[in-house]
Amino acid sequence: MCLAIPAQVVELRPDDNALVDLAGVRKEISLALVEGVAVGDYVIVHVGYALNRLDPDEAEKTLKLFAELGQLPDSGEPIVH
Amino acid sequence: MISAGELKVGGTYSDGEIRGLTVDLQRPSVTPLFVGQLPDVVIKTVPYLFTLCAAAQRSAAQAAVNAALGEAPAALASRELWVEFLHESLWRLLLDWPAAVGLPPAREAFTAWRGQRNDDDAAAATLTLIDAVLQPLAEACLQRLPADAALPGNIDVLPELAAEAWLAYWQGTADQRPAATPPSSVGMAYRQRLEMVRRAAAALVEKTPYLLARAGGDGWGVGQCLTARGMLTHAVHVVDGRVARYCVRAPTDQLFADSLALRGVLAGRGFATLADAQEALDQAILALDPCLPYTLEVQYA
Repeated sequence: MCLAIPAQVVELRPDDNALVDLAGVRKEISLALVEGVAVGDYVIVHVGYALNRLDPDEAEKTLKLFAELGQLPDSGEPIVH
Repeated sequence: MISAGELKVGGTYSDGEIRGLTVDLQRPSVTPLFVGQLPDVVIKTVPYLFTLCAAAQRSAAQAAVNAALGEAPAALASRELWVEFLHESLWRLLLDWPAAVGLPPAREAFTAWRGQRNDDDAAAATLTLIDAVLQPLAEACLQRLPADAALPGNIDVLPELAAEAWLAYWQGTADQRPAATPPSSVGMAYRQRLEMVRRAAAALVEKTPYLLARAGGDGWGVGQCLTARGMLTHAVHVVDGRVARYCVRAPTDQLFADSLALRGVLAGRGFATLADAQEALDQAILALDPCLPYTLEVQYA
């Protein structure tokens, strides 16, 4: 996905995989592209891969932005990236 | 909580052709977050919202705001932008395209490059990756892609900057948004990406300024920035020091607004089986490179 919605790692799995919680949806992803990820960390996910680990404060800030966005009416402008 | 959106592609298969192609792109708009904000807040917020192109999004937003407010251009983080461009492009060429044509992805090579991409010797590492891994892999991929009837001698890779024309549309003095030209075929899309990677690597070595354009004034601003998928456009209207309107238009929005670009990439092709048609459509979607996951459903008519 292109929107940088933080996903929280809830379980480490074999073969460099992990179970993450992404906006309430749990899915298995690969950790092959990032190192040192632990349960509780926030990562950004794209097409099944964790791209990077987020600082907890940054993740919280971003989640607040998306939560705020979910409560706003659509602008009617062309859909964005 | 907001979702990241989804892309659904569908069609039917009959008489060796894909018919009734449908494209449904649903993505949440982030621009309502910006309305009523100070322009500087928008520039700081944008990188938090986007996964793959945060530097390009920030640069386009900065350019649009600077133009609207009549400010001098901000310093351009060209190196970061070229690396971001290469990251997405190499992901397609080393991981996604091999898988799409039945070859093993070069995952270890990509992972190793990814770990070096912000180092001082990233340019050298990129050139080595291209020569040692990408070039032979690309030759193997091209052998498995459908042959093009005729290819031009020079591959046109750079999307057109059209900030002035975009500004006219944004201000309401032009009816149409400037439109980019989609690739003519799957093979052409592959070759364009390959060529652009070579140019981006050279730009990294030579410290070439990144591709950015802006236009505007009197509160109206447009910023355009190259991304791995094409040209990204931000447009802003500032009234009394606050953002009154904001628009972000990305390549995915244009190429998947309808089925036109997909039909163009597949034009003139026939398919012996339903499975062949599905594979071709998968490759066509990859050629247009949406920045979000997609589902594909092709059934017998």
